[in-house]
Amino acid sequence: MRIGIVCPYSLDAPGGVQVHVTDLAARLIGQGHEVSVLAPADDDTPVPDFVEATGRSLAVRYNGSVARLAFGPVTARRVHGWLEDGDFEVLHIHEPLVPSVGLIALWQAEVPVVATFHTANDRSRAMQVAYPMLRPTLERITARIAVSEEARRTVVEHMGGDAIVIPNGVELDLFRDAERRPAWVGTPDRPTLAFLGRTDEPRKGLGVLLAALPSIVAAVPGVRILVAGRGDLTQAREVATRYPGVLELLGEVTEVDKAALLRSVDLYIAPQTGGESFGIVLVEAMAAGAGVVASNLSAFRRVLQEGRAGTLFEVGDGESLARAVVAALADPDRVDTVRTSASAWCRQYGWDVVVAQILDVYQLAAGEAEKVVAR
Amino acid sequence: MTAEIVLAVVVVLVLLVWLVLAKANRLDLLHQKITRTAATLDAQLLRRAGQAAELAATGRLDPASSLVLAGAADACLTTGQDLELPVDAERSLPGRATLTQEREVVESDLSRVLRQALEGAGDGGPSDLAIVADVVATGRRVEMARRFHNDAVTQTVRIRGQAMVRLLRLAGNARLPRTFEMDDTPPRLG
Repeated sequence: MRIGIVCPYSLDAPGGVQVHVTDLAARLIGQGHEVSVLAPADDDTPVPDFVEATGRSLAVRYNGSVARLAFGPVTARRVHGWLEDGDFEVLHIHEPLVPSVGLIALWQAEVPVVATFHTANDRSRAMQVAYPMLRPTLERITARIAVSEEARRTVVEHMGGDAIVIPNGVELDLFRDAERRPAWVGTPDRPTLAFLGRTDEPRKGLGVLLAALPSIVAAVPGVRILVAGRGDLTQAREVATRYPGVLELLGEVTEVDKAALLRSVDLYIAPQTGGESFGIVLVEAMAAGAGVVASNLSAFRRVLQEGRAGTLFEVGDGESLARAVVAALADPDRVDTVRTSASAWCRQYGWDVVVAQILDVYQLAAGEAEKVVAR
Repeated sequence: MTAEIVLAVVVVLVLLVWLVLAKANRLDLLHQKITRTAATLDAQLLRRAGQAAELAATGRLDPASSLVLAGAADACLTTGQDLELPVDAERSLPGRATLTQEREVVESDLSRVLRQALEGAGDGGPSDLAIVADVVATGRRVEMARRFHNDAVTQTVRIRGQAMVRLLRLAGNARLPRTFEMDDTPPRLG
Protein backbone atom coordinates (compact mmCIF):
# COMPACT_ATOMS: atom_id res chain seq x y z
CA MET A 1 0.00 0.00 0.00
CA ARG A 2 1.02 3.62 -0.44
CA ILE A 3 0.65 5.04 3.03
CA GLY A 4 1.07 8.63 4.23
CA ILE A 5 1.56 9.12 7.96
CA VAL A 6 1.35 12.52 9.63
CA CYS A 7 2.91 13.39 12.98
CA PRO A 8 1.79 16.74 14.44
CA TYR A 9 4.68 17.20 16.86
CA SER A 10 8.09 18.38 15.76
CA LEU A 11 10.82 15.77 15.46
CA ASP A 12 13.18 18.37 16.96
CA ALA A 13 12.00 17.28 20.39
CA PRO A 14 11.69 13.68 21.57
CA GLY A 15 8.23 12.39 22.44
CA GLY A 16 6.04 9.32 22.52
CA VAL A 17 4.01 10.16 19.42
CA GLN A 18 7.13 10.92 17.38
CA VAL A 19 8.75 7.62 18.39
CA HIS A 20 5.58 5.67 17.66
CA VAL A 21 5.19 7.22 14.21
CA THR A 22 8.78 6.62 13.10
CA ASP A 23 8.78 3.05 14.47
CA LEU A 24 5.47 2.28 12.75
CA ALA A 25 6.71 3.68 9.45
CA ALA A 26 9.96 1.71 9.64
CA ARG A 27 8.06 -1.53 10.30
CA LEU A 28 5.55 -0.93 7.51
CA ILE A 29 8.42 -0.27 5.11
CA GLY A 30 10.04 -3.48 6.36
CA GLN A 31 6.90 -5.31 5.25
CA GLY A 32 7.17 -3.86 1.75
CA HIS A 33 4.78 -0.92 1.96
CA GLU A 34 5.51 2.50 0.50
CA VAL A 35 5.46 4.92 3.40
CA SER A 36 6.12 8.63 3.75
CA VAL A 37 5.95 10.45 7.07
CA LEU A 38 5.11 14.15 7.22
CA ALA A 39 6.25 15.94 10.36
CA PRO A 40 7.50 19.34 11.45
CA ALA A 41 11.29 19.36 11.83
CA ASP A 42 13.98 21.96 11.42
CA ASP A 43 16.12 21.64 8.33
CA ASP A 44 19.17 20.70 10.41
CA THR A 45 17.43 18.04 12.50
CA PRO A 46 18.54 14.59 11.30
CA VAL A 47 15.47 12.59 10.23
CA PRO A 48 15.04 9.16 8.59
CA ASP A 49 14.82 9.03 4.76
CA PHE A 50 11.10 8.39 4.78
CA VAL A 51 10.36 11.64 6.65
CA GLU A 52 9.29 14.79 4.81
CA ALA A 53 9.97 17.77 7.06
CA THR A 54 7.56 20.71 6.94
CA GLY A 55 10.09 23.17 8.24
CA ARG A 56 9.54 25.82 10.83
CA SER A 57 7.44 25.05 13.82
CA LEU A 58 6.51 27.31 16.68
CA ALA A 59 6.65 26.45 20.37
CA VAL A 60 3.06 27.03 21.42
CA ARG A 61 1.29 26.64 24.72
CA TYR A 62 -1.54 24.33 23.89
CA ASN A 63 -3.74 22.35 26.22
CA GLY A 64 -1.58 23.05 29.25
CA SER A 65 1.80 22.20 27.82
CA VAL A 66 4.25 23.61 25.30
CA ALA A 67 4.56 21.79 21.99
CA ARG A 68 6.36 22.61 18.77
CA LEU A 69 3.62 22.84 16.15
CA ALA A 70 3.57 23.82 12.48
CA PHE A 71 0.68 25.78 10.98
CA GLY A 72 0.04 28.77 8.74
CA PRO A 73 -0.02 29.25 4.97
CA VAL A 74 3.59 28.21 4.36
CA THR A 75 3.02 24.92 6.16
CA ALA A 76 -0.33 24.40 4.44
CA ARG A 77 1.34 24.64 1.04
CA ARG A 78 3.97 22.09 1.99
CA VAL A 79 1.30 19.70 3.24
CA HIS A 80 -0.57 20.11 -0.03
CA GLY A 81 2.55 19.35 -2.05
CA TRP A 82 3.26 16.24 0.02
CA LEU A 83 -0.28 14.93 -0.48
CA GLU A 84 -0.06 15.53 -4.24
CA ASP A 85 3.34 13.86 -4.62
CA GLY A 86 2.49 10.94 -2.37
CA ASP A 87 -0.76 9.93 -4.09
CA PHE A 88 -1.54 7.81 -1.03
CA GLU A 89 -4.11 5.05 -0.81
CA VAL A 90 -4.60 5.77 2.85
CA LEU A 91 -3.60 8.64 5.10
CA HIS A 92 -2.85 7.94 8.77
CA ILE A 93 -3.04 11.08 10.90
CA HIS A 94 -1.86 11.05 14.50
CA GLU A 95 -3.49 13.34 17.05
CA PRO A 96 -5.76 15.06 14.51
CA LEU A 97 -7.04 17.48 17.17
CA VAL A 98 -3.59 18.97 17.71
CA PRO A 99 -3.42 22.17 15.66
CA SER A 100 -0.51 21.26 13.44
CA VAL A 101 0.24 19.49 10.14
CA GLY A 102 -2.15 16.63 10.98
CA LEU A 103 -5.19 18.84 11.14
CA ILE A 104 -4.09 20.64 7.96
CA ALA A 105 -3.58 17.33 6.13
CA LEU A 106 -7.02 16.19 7.25
CA TRP A 107 -8.51 19.44 5.98
CA GLN A 108 -6.93 18.88 2.56
CA ALA A 109 -7.29 15.09 2.36
CA GLU A 110 -9.09 13.51 -0.56
CA VAL A 111 -8.23 9.91 0.34
CA PRO A 112 -9.47 7.67 3.17
CA VAL A 113 -8.13 8.83 6.52
CA VAL A 114 -7.27 6.75 9.57
CA ALA A 115 -6.76 8.82 12.71
CA THR A 116 -5.02 7.77 15.92
CA PHE A 117 -5.76 9.49 19.23
CA HIS A 118 -2.94 9.24 21.74
CA THR A 119 -3.81 11.42 24.68
CA ALA A 120 -6.53 11.47 27.26
CA ASN A 121 -7.16 15.18 27.64
CA ASP A 122 -9.67 17.63 28.89
CA ARG A 123 -11.15 19.65 26.11
CA SER A 124 -9.36 22.97 25.86
CA ARG A 125 -11.27 26.24 25.76
CA ALA A 126 -9.94 26.96 22.29
CA MET A 127 -11.24 23.58 21.17
CA GLN A 128 -14.66 24.27 22.64
CA VAL A 129 -14.86 27.55 20.75
CA ALA A 130 -13.50 26.17 17.49
CA TYR A 131 -15.16 22.75 17.50
CA PRO A 132 -18.23 23.59 15.39
CA MET A 133 -15.87 24.99 12.79
CA LEU A 134 -13.70 21.86 12.88
CA ARG A 135 -16.55 19.41 12.67
CA PRO A 136 -16.69 19.18 8.85
CA THR A 137 -12.94 18.60 8.79
CA LEU A 138 -13.10 15.91 11.46
CA GLU A 139 -15.90 14.16 9.62
CA ARG A 140 -13.38 13.21 6.92
CA ILE A 141 -11.90 10.62 9.26
CA THR A 142 -12.91 7.12 8.11
CA ALA A 143 -11.53 5.05 10.98
CA ARG A 144 -10.57 6.12 14.46
CA ILE A 145 -7.95 4.38 16.57
CA ALA A 146 -7.30 5.13 20.23
CA VAL A 147 -4.06 3.92 21.82
CA SER A 148 -5.72 3.21 25.15
CA GLU A 149 -9.10 2.97 26.85
CA GLU A 150 -8.45 6.43 28.34
CA ALA A 151 -7.78 7.93 24.94
CA ARG A 152 -10.86 6.16 23.61
CA ARG A 153 -13.02 7.64 26.35
CA THR A 154 -11.71 11.10 25.43
CA VAL A 155 -12.70 10.52 21.80
CA VAL A 156 -16.16 9.36 22.80
CA GLU A 157 -16.73 12.26 25.19
CA HIS A 158 -15.33 15.01 23.00
CA MET A 159 -16.32 13.96 19.53
CA GLY A 160 -19.06 11.40 19.92
CA GLY A 161 -18.85 8.12 18.04
CA ASP A 162 -16.32 5.49 18.94
CA ALA A 163 -12.77 4.33 18.30
CA ILE A 164 -10.97 1.00 18.10
CA VAL A 165 -8.31 0.49 20.76
CA ILE A 166 -4.90 -0.49 19.36
CA PRO A 167 -2.07 0.13 21.81
CA ASN A 168 1.23 1.71 20.87
CA GLY A 169 3.76 -0.87 19.77
CA VAL A 170 6.59 -1.71 22.13
CA GLU A 171 10.00 -3.01 21.10
CA LEU A 172 9.62 -6.09 23.28
CA ASP A 173 12.77 -7.75 21.90
CA LEU A 174 14.93 -4.78 22.83
CA PHE A 175 13.88 -5.25 26.45
CA ARG A 176 13.63 -9.05 26.51
CA ASP A 177 17.13 -9.47 25.07
CA ALA A 178 18.86 -6.58 26.84
CA GLU A 179 22.20 -7.30 28.58
CA ARG A 180 22.08 -7.28 32.35
CA ARG A 181 24.37 -4.63 33.91
CA PRO A 182 26.12 -6.23 36.94
CA ALA A 183 26.17 -2.90 38.81
CA TRP A 184 22.39 -2.74 38.65
CA VAL A 185 21.55 -6.39 39.38
CA GLY A 186 20.05 -6.89 42.83
CA THR A 187 21.12 -9.49 45.36
CA PRO A 188 19.01 -10.92 48.21
CA ASP A 189 20.77 -8.54 50.63
CA ARG A 190 20.85 -5.60 48.30
CA PRO A 191 17.74 -5.69 46.08
CA THR A 192 17.46 -2.99 43.41
CA LEU A 193 14.47 -0.82 42.50
CA ALA A 194 14.26 1.45 39.45
CA PHE A 195 12.46 4.73 38.84
CA LEU A 196 12.27 6.16 35.31
CA GLY A 197 10.99 9.55 34.27
CA ARG A 198 11.45 13.27 34.66
CA THR A 199 12.52 13.93 38.21
CA ASP A 200 10.97 17.39 38.46
CA GLU A 201 7.61 16.58 36.90
CA PRO A 202 5.32 16.01 39.90
CA ARG A 203 2.98 13.73 37.93
CA LYS A 204 5.83 11.29 37.35
CA GLY A 205 5.73 10.69 41.09
CA LEU A 206 9.36 10.72 42.25
CA GLY A 207 8.06 12.59 45.30
CA VAL A 208 5.84 9.63 46.17
CA LEU A 209 8.80 7.26 45.97
CA LEU A 210 10.92 9.58 48.14
CA ALA A 211 8.09 9.70 50.67
CA ALA A 212 8.02 5.90 50.75
CA LEU A 213 11.78 5.62 51.10
CA PRO A 214 12.10 5.80 54.93
CA SER A 215 9.62 2.95 55.44
CA ILE A 216 11.27 0.84 52.72
CA VAL A 217 14.74 1.38 54.22
CA ALA A 218 13.41 0.53 57.68
CA ALA A 219 12.19 -2.87 56.44
CA VAL A 220 14.92 -3.57 53.87
CA PRO A 221 18.09 -1.71 54.99
CA GLY A 222 20.16 -2.92 52.01
CA VAL A 223 17.76 -1.63 49.34
CA ARG A 224 19.18 0.34 46.39
CA ILE A 225 16.96 2.69 44.45
CA LEU A 226 18.18 3.69 40.98
CA VAL A 227 16.67 6.92 39.65
CA ALA A 228 16.97 7.50 35.90
CA GLY A 229 15.63 10.57 34.13
CA ARG A 230 16.44 14.17 33.47
CA GLY A 231 15.31 17.10 35.53
CA ASP A 232 16.05 18.90 38.76
CA LEU A 233 17.46 16.63 41.48
CA THR A 234 17.63 19.00 44.48
CA GLN A 235 15.05 17.14 46.52
CA ALA A 236 16.44 13.73 45.57
CA ARG A 237 19.99 14.80 46.50
CA GLU A 238 18.82 15.89 49.95
CA VAL A 239 17.24 12.51 50.53
CA ALA A 240 20.32 10.80 49.09
CA THR A 241 22.60 12.44 51.65
CA ARG A 242 20.25 11.45 54.47
CA TYR A 243 20.22 7.81 53.32
CA PRO A 244 23.73 7.14 51.97
CA GLY A 245 24.02 4.14 49.68
CA VAL A 246 20.28 3.89 49.07
CA LEU A 247 19.50 6.42 46.36
CA GLU A 248 21.60 6.36 43.18
CA LEU A 249 20.94 9.15 40.71
CA LEU A 250 21.76 8.06 37.17
CA GLY A 251 20.57 11.18 35.35
CA GLU A 252 19.26 10.88 31.80
CA VAL A 253 19.83 7.43 30.27
CA THR A 254 19.81 6.15 26.69
CA GLU A 255 17.24 3.71 25.37
CA VAL A 256 19.84 0.91 25.63
CA ASP A 257 20.67 1.83 29.24
CA LYS A 258 16.98 1.95 30.03
CA ALA A 259 16.50 -1.57 28.68
CA ALA A 260 19.55 -2.79 30.62
CA LEU A 261 18.26 -1.12 33.77
CA LEU A 262 14.82 -2.71 33.53
CA ARG A 263 16.46 -6.04 32.70
CA SER A 264 18.73 -5.84 35.76
CA VAL A 265 16.58 -4.58 38.62
CA ASP A 266 14.28 -6.60 40.85
CA LEU A 267 11.40 -4.15 40.78
CA TYR A 268 10.37 -1.27 38.56
CA ILE A 269 8.41 1.37 40.47
CA ALA A 270 5.79 3.43 38.61
CA PRO A 271 4.54 6.01 41.13
CA GLN A 272 2.90 8.32 38.56
CA THR A 273 0.00 10.29 39.97
CA GLY A 274 -1.91 10.98 36.76
CA GLY A 275 -1.76 12.07 33.15
CA GLU A 276 -0.85 8.59 31.93
CA SER A 277 -3.01 7.24 29.16
CA PHE A 278 -1.18 3.99 28.56
CA GLY A 279 1.97 3.18 30.53
CA ILE A 280 4.42 2.02 27.89
CA VAL A 281 7.27 1.77 30.43
CA LEU A 282 5.25 -0.77 32.38
CA VAL A 283 5.08 -2.99 29.31
CA GLU A 284 8.80 -2.50 28.74
CA ALA A 285 9.50 -3.45 32.34
CA MET A 286 7.32 -6.55 32.02
CA ALA A 287 9.11 -7.54 28.82
CA ALA A 288 12.47 -7.04 30.52
CA GLY A 289 11.38 -9.23 33.39
CA ALA A 290 11.33 -6.65 36.18
CA GLY A 291 8.56 -6.98 38.74
CA VAL A 292 6.25 -3.99 38.41
CA VAL A 293 4.90 -1.98 41.35
CA ALA A 294 2.61 0.75 40.01
CA SER A 295 0.06 3.32 41.16
CA ASN A 296 -3.50 2.22 40.86
CA LEU A 297 -4.28 4.46 37.87
CA SER A 298 -6.90 3.05 35.54
CA ALA A 299 -4.40 2.93 32.65
CA PHE A 300 -1.85 1.04 34.75
CA ARG A 301 -4.50 -1.29 36.17
CA ARG A 302 -5.39 -2.30 32.63
CA VAL A 303 -1.79 -2.78 31.48
CA LEU A 304 -1.11 -4.86 34.59
CA GLN A 305 -4.17 -7.03 33.93
CA GLU A 306 -6.00 -5.76 37.04
CA GLY A 307 -2.95 -6.53 39.18
CA ARG A 308 -2.27 -10.06 37.92
CA ALA A 309 0.82 -8.90 36.02
CA GLY A 310 2.13 -6.63 38.76
CA THR A 311 1.44 -5.01 42.13
CA LEU A 312 -0.76 -1.94 42.50
CA PHE A 313 -0.73 0.64 45.31
CA GLU A 314 -2.83 3.69 46.20
CA VAL A 315 -2.09 6.64 43.89
CA GLY A 316 0.14 9.23 45.57
CA ASP A 317 0.35 7.27 48.86
CA GLY A 318 3.98 6.75 49.94
CA GLU A 319 3.07 4.35 52.76
CA SER A 320 1.00 2.20 50.44
CA LEU A 321 3.92 2.11 47.98
CA ALA A 322 6.33 1.15 50.78
CA ARG A 323 4.06 -1.73 51.88
CA ALA A 324 3.77 -2.99 48.30
CA VAL A 325 7.55 -2.88 47.76
CA VAL A 326 8.37 -4.55 51.08
CA ALA A 327 5.78 -7.28 50.45
CA ALA A 328 7.13 -7.92 46.94
CA LEU A 329 10.75 -8.10 48.15
CA ALA A 330 9.75 -10.47 50.96
CA ASP A 331 8.05 -12.93 48.61
CA PRO A 332 10.32 -13.61 45.60
CA ASP A 333 8.34 -16.73 44.61
CA ARG A 334 5.17 -14.77 44.07
CA VAL A 335 7.09 -12.10 42.15
CA ASP A 336 8.46 -14.87 39.90
CA THR A 337 4.99 -16.22 39.19
CA VAL A 338 3.69 -12.76 38.41
CA ARG A 339 6.73 -12.09 36.23
CA THR A 340 6.11 -15.22 34.16
CA SER A 341 2.49 -14.34 33.54
CA ALA A 342 3.48 -10.75 32.83
CA SER A 343 5.94 -11.66 30.10
CA ALA A 344 3.23 -13.66 28.33
CA TRP A 345 0.62 -10.97 28.86
CA CYS A 346 2.77 -8.18 27.45
CA ARG A 347 3.18 -9.93 24.08
CA GLN A 348 -0.05 -8.31 22.84
CA TYR A 349 1.70 -4.93 23.04
CA GLY A 350 4.53 -6.03 20.75
CA TRP A 351 4.97 -4.33 17.40
CA ASP A 352 4.21 -7.45 15.33
CA VAL A 353 0.71 -7.69 16.76
CA VAL A 354 0.17 -3.94 16.60
CA VAL A 355 1.30 -3.50 12.98
CA ALA A 356 -0.95 -6.33 11.82
CA GLN A 357 -3.94 -4.67 13.54
CA ILE A 358 -3.17 -1.26 12.05
CA LEU A 359 -2.80 -2.71 8.55
CA ASP A 360 -6.22 -4.32 8.96
CA VAL A 361 -7.66 -0.89 9.69
CA TYR A 362 -5.90 0.61 6.65
CA GLN A 363 -7.32 -2.04 4.37
CA LEU A 364 -10.83 -1.66 5.76
CA ALA A 365 -10.68 2.11 5.41
CA ALA A 366 -9.32 1.99 1.86
CA GLY A 367 -11.77 -0.75 0.82
CA GLU A 368 -14.71 1.11 2.23
CA ALA A 369 -13.83 4.16 0.18
CA GLU A 370 -13.57 2.08 -2.99
CA LYS A 371 -17.10 0.85 -2.41
CA VAL A 372 -18.35 4.40 -2.02
CA VAL A 373 -16.70 5.43 -5.28
CA ALA A 374 -18.14 2.40 -7.12
CA ARG A 375 -21.65 3.23 -6.02
CA MET B 1 22.85 92.47 59.23
CA THR B 2 20.76 89.87 61.06
CA ALA B 3 17.72 90.93 59.04
CA GLU B 4 19.62 90.21 55.88
CA ILE B 5 20.58 86.75 57.11
CA VAL B 6 16.99 85.99 58.07
CA LEU B 7 15.85 87.18 54.67
CA ALA B 8 18.41 85.03 52.91
CA VAL B 9 17.40 81.97 54.93
CA VAL B 10 13.73 82.60 54.19
CA VAL B 11 14.47 82.98 50.49
CA VAL B 12 16.45 79.73 50.43
CA LEU B 13 13.71 77.92 52.35
CA VAL B 14 11.00 79.19 50.04
CA LEU B 15 13.11 78.16 47.09
CA LEU B 16 13.61 74.69 48.55
CA VAL B 17 9.93 74.22 49.30
CA TRP B 18 9.10 75.41 45.80
CA LEU B 19 11.62 72.95 44.35
CA VAL B 20 10.18 70.07 46.32
CA LEU B 21 6.63 70.95 45.42
CA ALA B 22 7.55 71.29 41.77
CA LYS B 23 9.21 67.88 41.84
CA ALA B 24 6.22 66.32 43.60
CA ASN B 25 3.89 67.87 41.08
CA ARG B 26 5.96 66.61 38.17
CA LEU B 27 5.96 63.13 39.62
CA ASP B 28 2.22 63.26 40.12
CA LEU B 29 1.72 64.28 36.50
CA LEU B 30 3.99 61.47 35.36
CA HIS B 31 2.03 58.97 37.41
CA GLN B 32 -1.16 60.22 35.86
CA LYS B 33 0.42 59.89 32.45
CA ILE B 34 1.36 56.29 33.17
CA THR B 35 -2.21 55.58 34.17
CA ARG B 36 -3.32 56.88 30.80
CA THR B 37 -0.62 55.17 28.72
CA ALA B 38 -1.28 51.89 30.54
CA ALA B 39 -4.99 52.19 29.85
CA THR B 40 -4.32 52.92 26.18
CA LEU B 41 -1.95 50.00 25.79
CA ASP B 42 -4.35 47.74 27.65
CA ALA B 43 -7.22 48.79 25.39
CA GLN B 44 -5.19 48.17 22.23
CA LEU B 45 -4.04 44.77 23.49
CA LEU B 46 -7.59 43.72 24.30
CA ARG B 47 -8.77 45.01 20.96
CA ARG B 48 -6.08 43.04 19.15
CA ALA B 49 -6.98 39.86 21.06
CA GLY B 50 -10.67 40.36 20.24
CA GLN B 51 -9.88 40.80 16.56
CA ALA B 52 -7.59 37.76 16.61
CA ALA B 53 -10.43 35.69 18.07
CA GLU B 54 -12.73 37.01 15.36
CA LEU B 55 -10.18 36.12 12.69
CA ALA B 56 -9.86 32.61 14.12
CA ALA B 57 -13.62 32.19 13.85
CA THR B 58 -13.86 33.20 10.18
CA GLY B 59 -12.92 29.73 8.97
CA ARG B 60 -10.70 31.26 6.29
CA LEU B 61 -7.44 30.21 7.94
CA ASP B 62 -6.32 26.60 7.92
CA PRO B 63 -7.89 24.76 10.87
CA ALA B 64 -4.60 24.41 12.76
CA SER B 65 -3.98 28.16 12.59
CA SER B 66 -7.57 28.83 13.64
CA LEU B 67 -7.26 26.60 16.64
CA VAL B 68 -3.90 27.92 17.85
CA LEU B 69 -5.02 31.50 17.25
CA ALA B 70 -8.28 30.97 19.13
CA GLY B 71 -6.30 29.59 22.07
CA ALA B 72 -3.74 32.40 22.05
CA ALA B 73 -6.46 35.08 21.82
CA ASP B 74 -8.42 33.47 24.61
CA ALA B 75 -5.34 33.45 26.85
CA CYS B 76 -4.88 37.18 26.21
CA LEU B 77 -8.49 37.98 27.00
CA THR B 78 -8.50 36.03 30.25
CA THR B 79 -5.06 36.66 31.75
CA GLY B 80 -4.42 39.22 34.51
CA GLN B 81 -7.88 40.64 34.81
CA ASP B 82 -7.99 41.29 38.54
CA LEU B 83 -4.78 43.03 39.58
CA GLU B 84 -4.36 46.72 40.41
CA LEU B 85 -2.85 49.20 38.05
CA PRO B 86 0.87 49.89 38.51
CA VAL B 87 0.10 53.32 39.99
CA ASP B 88 -2.03 54.46 42.97
CA ALA B 89 -4.71 52.03 43.91
CA GLU B 90 -7.16 54.93 44.33
CA ARG B 91 -6.71 56.05 40.78
CA SER B 92 -7.06 52.65 39.21
CA LEU B 93 -10.23 51.73 37.47
CA PRO B 94 -11.71 48.70 39.18
CA GLY B 95 -11.73 45.40 37.28
CA ARG B 96 -9.36 46.57 34.58
CA ALA B 97 -6.90 44.22 33.04
CA THR B 98 -3.38 45.24 33.94
CA LEU B 99 0.03 44.91 32.45
CA THR B 100 1.43 42.01 34.41
CA GLN B 101 4.39 39.85 33.48
CA GLU B 102 1.95 37.02 32.83
CA ARG B 103 0.37 39.17 30.17
CA GLU B 104 3.71 39.92 28.54
CA VAL B 105 4.02 36.18 27.93
CA VAL B 106 0.56 35.58 26.44
CA GLU B 107 0.63 38.75 24.34
CA SER B 108 4.05 37.81 22.93
CA ASP B 109 2.65 34.38 22.13
CA LEU B 110 -0.24 35.98 20.27
CA SER B 111 2.21 38.08 18.19
CA ARG B 112 4.20 34.97 17.25
CA VAL B 113 1.08 32.97 16.42
CA LEU B 114 -0.32 35.80 14.27
CA ARG B 115 2.91 35.93 12.29
CA GLN B 116 3.00 32.19 11.74
CA ALA B 117 -0.69 32.07 10.79
CA LEU B 118 -0.63 34.99 8.35
CA GLU B 119 2.83 35.42 6.84
CA GLY B 120 3.43 33.95 3.40
CA ALA B 121 -0.24 33.52 2.48
CA GLY B 122 0.19 35.02 -1.01
CA ASP B 123 -2.64 36.10 -3.30
CA GLY B 124 -6.16 34.91 -2.70
CA GLY B 125 -5.25 33.92 0.86
CA PRO B 126 -6.79 35.27 4.03
CA SER B 127 -4.75 38.49 3.75
CA ASP B 128 -7.58 39.90 1.63
CA LEU B 129 -9.92 39.77 4.63
CA ALA B 130 -10.84 43.05 6.31
CA ILE B 131 -10.33 41.51 9.74
CA VAL B 132 -6.72 40.66 8.84
CA ALA B 133 -6.06 44.30 7.96
CA ASP B 134 -7.72 45.28 11.25
CA VAL B 135 -5.67 42.96 13.40
CA VAL B 136 -2.43 44.04 11.71
CA ALA B 137 -3.35 47.72 12.14
CA THR B 138 -4.17 47.18 15.80
CA GLY B 139 -0.86 45.37 16.14
CA ARG B 140 0.92 48.50 14.94
CA ARG B 141 -1.05 50.56 17.45
CA VAL B 142 0.02 48.14 20.16
CA GLU B 143 3.63 48.72 19.13
CA MET B 144 3.19 52.49 19.43
CA ALA B 145 1.15 52.45 22.62
CA ARG B 146 3.74 50.21 24.24
CA ARG B 147 6.56 52.57 23.28
CA PHE B 148 4.68 55.58 24.73
CA HIS B 149 3.93 53.68 27.91
CA ASN B 150 7.48 52.45 28.36
CA ASP B 151 8.81 55.99 27.75
CA ALA B 152 6.57 57.33 30.51
CA VAL B 153 7.63 54.54 32.82
CA THR B 154 11.33 55.13 32.15
CA GLN B 155 11.00 58.86 32.86
CA THR B 156 9.15 58.18 36.09
CA VAL B 157 11.59 55.56 37.26
CA ARG B 158 14.48 57.95 36.65
CA ILE B 159 12.90 60.70 38.76
CA ARG B 160 11.96 58.32 41.49
CA GLY B 161 15.55 57.23 41.71
CA GLN B 162 16.66 60.75 42.70
CA ALA B 163 17.87 61.17 46.28
CA MET B 164 15.44 63.98 47.19
CA VAL B 165 12.43 62.06 45.88
CA ARG B 166 13.40 58.98 47.87
CA LEU B 167 14.35 60.94 51.01
CA LEU B 168 11.12 62.94 51.16
CA ARG B 169 9.05 60.01 49.89
CA LEU B 170 7.54 62.23 47.23
CA ALA B 171 6.11 59.24 45.42
CA GLY B 172 3.96 58.37 48.42
CA ASN B 173 2.68 54.81 48.28
CA ALA B 174 2.61 54.54 44.52
CA ARG B 175 4.41 51.38 43.50
CA LEU B 176 7.36 51.63 41.16
CA PRO B 177 6.01 51.32 37.60
CA ARG B 178 7.35 48.63 35.30
CA THR B 179 7.93 48.69 31.57
CA PHE B 180 5.87 46.26 29.51
CA GLU B 181 8.17 43.94 27.59
CA MET B 182 6.75 41.85 24.78
CA ASP B 183 7.28 40.65 21.24
CA ASP B 184 5.00 43.08 19.37
CA THR B 185 6.26 42.69 15.80
CA PRO B 186 3.14 42.57 13.60
CA PRO B 187 2.89 40.09 10.69
CA ARG B 188 4.38 41.12 7.38
CA LEU B 189 1.77 40.60 4.68
CA GLY B 190 2.25 40.44 0.95
